[in-house]
Amino acid sequence: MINPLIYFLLFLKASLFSTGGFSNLPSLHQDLLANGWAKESYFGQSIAIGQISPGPNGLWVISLGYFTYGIAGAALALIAITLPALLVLVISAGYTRIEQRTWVQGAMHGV
Amino acid sequence: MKLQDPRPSKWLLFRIWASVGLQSFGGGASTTFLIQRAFIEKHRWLSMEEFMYFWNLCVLTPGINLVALTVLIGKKLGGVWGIVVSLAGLLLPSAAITCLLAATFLQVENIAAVQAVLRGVIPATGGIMLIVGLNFALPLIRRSYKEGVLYLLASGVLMIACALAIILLKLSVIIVILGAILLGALFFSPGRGSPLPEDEEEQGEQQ
Repeated sequence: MINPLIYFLLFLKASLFSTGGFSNLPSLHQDLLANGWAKESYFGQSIAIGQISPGPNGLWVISLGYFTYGIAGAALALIAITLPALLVLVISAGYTRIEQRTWVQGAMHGV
Repeated sequence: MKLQDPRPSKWLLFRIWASVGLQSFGGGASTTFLIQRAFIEKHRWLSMEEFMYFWNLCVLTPGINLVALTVLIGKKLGGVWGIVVSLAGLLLPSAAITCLLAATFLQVENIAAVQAVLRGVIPATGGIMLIVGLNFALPLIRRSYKEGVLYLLASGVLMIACALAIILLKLSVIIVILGAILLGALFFSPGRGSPLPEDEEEQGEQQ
């Protein structure tokens, strides 16, 4: 049985530690398979559907949500990929203050 | 270029973002192009410099860069409600179509003809995944190459180490990413007086 809260948190975590549309894949792949909530084939199929459907590429997660947990999964996935983007407001507020520090640039390179 | 007074109605904002979302196929570059055309060229609510500044902030933000860009442009054009209608416009129609496609796929998946098609598609998705990975790695490798052999070597070692840590040691992906951030901060931090000149160019290619 899928626990909706943990399911959502897994998607949120993957999105929070990713940059760009696809880099949440490894984390989701690892976590969903470990919980037995997804089949291996879902991932390739979701990415294929994400490619044919309109919108940002990152929406492939929505079909992954749909395959694993129906409409609820798709909705939770949508929220999970939207929330981290709101952090841009925090970053835009604080950016001018940290811009000059060299470790920030180094950290970005490492990612 | 004179900017127009950026006070569009919420409904107009929603429709613009919806059309951007629905027209962008293949993600990244085409969406960015549509956004520039709508907000900079057609309506003149945004200057190119502002757009680039927004984009650089989005690259620093976790998650999908384009969604973060939508948040920033939405905020500029309509405050909090601007953010809400912009996000809804970009994401909801496209997400609904994605759901429909996924649902249709589940319906037809078990038909013999579809199964036969899928057997051909599965290697193709393998190829797509490979290209996605390469698209991530290549700009970084090129940039490291410009910065010198030492950087190239360090980037290569970091990439291989991350792959090995995940495949062999079964480490959590998150821990590996945090480790890479830490090592990157230690190793790639440029010394005083040598900023990274290619920074912006490469960031633009990421999505």
